[in-house]
Parts: sequence; structure tokens; C-alpha cells
Amino acid sequence: MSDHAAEHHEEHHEFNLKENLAVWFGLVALTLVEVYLAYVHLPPATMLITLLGLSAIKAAGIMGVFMHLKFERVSFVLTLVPLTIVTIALLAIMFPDALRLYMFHWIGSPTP
Amino acid sequence: MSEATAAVAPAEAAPAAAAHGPAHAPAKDDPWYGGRHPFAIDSKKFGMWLFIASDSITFAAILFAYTYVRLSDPDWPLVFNAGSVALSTLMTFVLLTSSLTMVLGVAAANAGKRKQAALWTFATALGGLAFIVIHAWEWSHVIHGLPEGPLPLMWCAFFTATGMHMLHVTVGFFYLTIVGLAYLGGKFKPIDIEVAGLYWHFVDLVWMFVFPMIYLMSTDMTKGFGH
Repeated sequence: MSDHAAEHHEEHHEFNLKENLAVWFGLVALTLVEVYLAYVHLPPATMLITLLGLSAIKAAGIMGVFMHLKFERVSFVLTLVPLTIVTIALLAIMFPDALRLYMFHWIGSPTP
Repeated sequence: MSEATAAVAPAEAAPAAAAHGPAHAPAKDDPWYGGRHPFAIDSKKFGMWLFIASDSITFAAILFAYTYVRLSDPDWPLVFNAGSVALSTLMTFVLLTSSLTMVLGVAAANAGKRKQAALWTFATALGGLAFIVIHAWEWSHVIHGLPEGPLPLMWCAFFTATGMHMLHVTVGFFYLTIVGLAYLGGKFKPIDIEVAGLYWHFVDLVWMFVFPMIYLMSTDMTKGFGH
């Protein structure tokens, strides 16, 4: 397949203004929910998990619609996205140690 | 590959592979079909996506390191107040809106509306500039209010995460301006606007994590809007 043919082979889609506006309104609304949560006094771990969940939803909206990922080939999405998410998620291996240090501080014991 | 198979001359092996290929390989209309363009995506877009994947890991490392020190310290200072959150919410709104103008720019470029696409791209760059100005003002305000002596850990985390992000916004501002001008002058194609848009949406996406984790996790709303 020539480059020209490949260019035409790339899947194009009709631009949907309503869909993009809906995502934008959704992102603004979720941001306001996050700000509201700052007024509610939640424990840090609960607050963190809630905020990360909301941010993940916002990220999905941006990647899927604004960045057109939902219109790309499934092979491309499944090649790129899971490896990135897994690599990032593996960094969470540090969190148990952070909570261990938190407990040391909390009970007043000297940190090792 | 067995020795017997390896011993077969290439000229003989090729027809054999062709004969066995269709039975094992995905069909051409299968989404997992390889061929010369397995992802059916422009090389520039593919390159930008690879950059985004790698850069997201860099940001993740910074934010995870911040979260580690944040969670491990029960006496973490809640340095932000309602005024700081109002300002950072405004910055979030500016970035989100600039993403929308970028979407409109890409749509106009794909529709062949060159002037309109360039204008939306410049509007996006202007949003980036507004973000930089607000953020720089906030930084100067914070720097002037810092106590003497070593920089507290909270502010180290703040300057690292927001500084790295602001660097990306600054690069994005110049990137969009240059691409917009070149596209207007006929030197670039719609795909170049689309690739620049991918970068800009990524900058927006990263802020969706920086804003709640850096600002909202260190905020005491009872402090009101004062300094």
C-alpha cells in the first residue's frame, strides 16, 4: 500500500460538535464536583481515591473524544493504552510504604 | 524453526509460507491484520502518541512521588485556601476551553477551512498564554510568601509538578503558534494541526491530575480567600 493509499485508508469520522460540547460540559461539571469535595473534610486516602477516580473519568473523555482515540483502530488502542496504564499503575507499589510511614507518625513511634 | 525447515531454500519456502499463511494469519478486514500499515494511522500521529505514552509515565512518576510524601505525613501542611482553589479552578477552565477550541481547529482543518483552522489554533495558543500568565502570577505570589530557610517539602512538590506542567504549556504555546502560522501559509497539512492538537489535549489531560492532587489535596477551605 502506498503512503497515499495509507492516508486514505486511515479511518475518518464525521465531526460531532454536540458530542464534543457534551464532553466539555462534563469535564467542567466534574471539575466543580472535585472543588466541592475540597469543602468536605474527607480522610486523605479516601479523598485521593475519589479524586483519582474522577480524574480518570475526565482523562477517558479527553482521550476518547478530544484525542479521537475512540475512532482509532482497536489494535492501535489495545497496543498503546494497556501498557501505559499498567506501567503507571505499577508505581502504586510505593503506597503501602507511604501508609506504613503514616502509621509510624500517627502512633508517635520513631520512624526507622 | 527446525533444521529441516531452515535448510529449505528461500525460493521454495516463500510459496509454502504463502500457502499456509491465510489459514493462520488474520484476514485483511480483521482489526489485528498486520500488513504494511497495521494501525492504519499516520506516522506523525503515531509518533506523537508514543511521545504522549512516554511523557505520561514521566508525569506519573512525579505525581506518585508527591502522593507518597503526601500520604506518609499526617502533618502535611494545608497551604491552599479557597482563593487558591478559585484561581486554580479558573486555570482549569481556561485549559479545558482551550482544548475545545483545539477540537474546533482540527475539525476546520479536516474540512479544508484553512483560515478558520488557523484562527482556532491561535485561540488555543492564546488560552495557553492566559494559563501561563495566571500561573506565573501565582508562582510569584507563592515565592514572595515563602519562609526563610530550606524549602518545605510541600512547596518542592508543588514547584516540581506545576513547573514541569508549565514547561509543557509553554512549549505548547510556541508549538501551536508555529504550526498555526505554517498551516496558514500553506506549508503544513491538516494532519500537522491534528498532531499539535494531540499534544495540547495531553497537556490538558495532565492538568486534570495535577489540579486535584496538588491543589485540592493540600487545601483548607476554612481559611477563606485571604493570604
